[in-house]
Amino acid sequence: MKTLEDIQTNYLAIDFFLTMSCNKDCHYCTSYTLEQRNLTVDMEFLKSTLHYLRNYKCRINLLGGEPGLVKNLLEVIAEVKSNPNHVCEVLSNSMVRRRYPEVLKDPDVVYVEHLVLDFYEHEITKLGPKSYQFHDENEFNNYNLVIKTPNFERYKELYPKDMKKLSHKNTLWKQFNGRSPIFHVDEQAAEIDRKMCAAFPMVPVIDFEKQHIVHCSKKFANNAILSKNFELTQENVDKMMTFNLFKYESYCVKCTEYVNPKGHFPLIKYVSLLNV
Amino acid sequence: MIEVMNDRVVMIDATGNMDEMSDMTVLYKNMRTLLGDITIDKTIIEPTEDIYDYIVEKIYLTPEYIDGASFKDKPKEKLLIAFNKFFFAMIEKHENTRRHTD
Repeated sequence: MKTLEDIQTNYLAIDFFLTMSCNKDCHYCTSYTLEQRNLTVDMEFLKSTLHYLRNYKCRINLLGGEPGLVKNLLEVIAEVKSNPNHVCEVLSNSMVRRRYPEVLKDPDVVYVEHLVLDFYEHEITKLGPKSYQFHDENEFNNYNLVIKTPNFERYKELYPKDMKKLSHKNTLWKQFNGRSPIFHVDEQAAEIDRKMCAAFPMVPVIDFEKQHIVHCSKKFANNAILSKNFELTQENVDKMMTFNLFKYESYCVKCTEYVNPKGHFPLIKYVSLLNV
Repeated sequence: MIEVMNDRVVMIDATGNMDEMSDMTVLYKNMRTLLGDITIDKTIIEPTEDIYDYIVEKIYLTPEYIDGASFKDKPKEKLLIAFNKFFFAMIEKHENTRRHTD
């Protein structure tokens, strides 16, 4: 089993948007439709994509939409796991826990559950059944993913005991971002950090519906300006994985997404990727 | 004229007065930590992937970014090129500013 620290340091992450369909409509998410479509992954397309990526250490994030709706998800996971260069990660709103509980028992699959819809002053609303508890600290690579929505700080102040349940190594915290129509910031990350992000974003996307590479997952859908996309070929994948495909685009110039001021990636990660 | 003297990047004017470019000295020392010996030579500049330019610029802006990293020979060569590119661009910028303010 690989540790999350090892994966975060040594692997580049790529989002596989398996389907755009979701059973939820989170206010900060744009990458979904409530229409149920493309729920069976085209295995030939998956195999050719993984073949192009075969020589690169990648963290393959299976999401969408909601991957728990995908009918052949277990087959997809098995295919991703078949290459030792690839780490399989699944990001779910808890539908995977309900429909494919075996995924949570496999420590070779990083399971990230996005269970919190929102923080209100007096409650946390959940995306799954109310009875679903957050993941305790564990060695199965199961993680809580918590987005700090606007009332997060207030809730934290009022319910420190509740928040303590989430304060352990198996909780990943994420900044609330510009996907929400009510979110507005004037400050941008430093230009150099946006440039480094542009060269290889936190997660570029393989769009399984349109079957192409998407530069920026934050400019994926429901945005006035959409991300640049590229044909999925061996040449483009090679360029992408060696920092030669993506450029600093006009939407990067205006981008207000959070980028870690200590560096988009730590230098040690660039060392690991460029030393190959 | 710009020179590296005793690990310091200094600007020497027509009368021989020396003025240290302290930000460039910090970058020079950090790049030496990262690359070992450093050649400053405009002729080695050639196109490299943007990411190397970004790494040099990031180290210039945030010196603590280097944090004990150790590159192999090939990326080291490209970082040296990127450093030279950055170094000469900064000198040109500095000299242009001086020309306009003298």
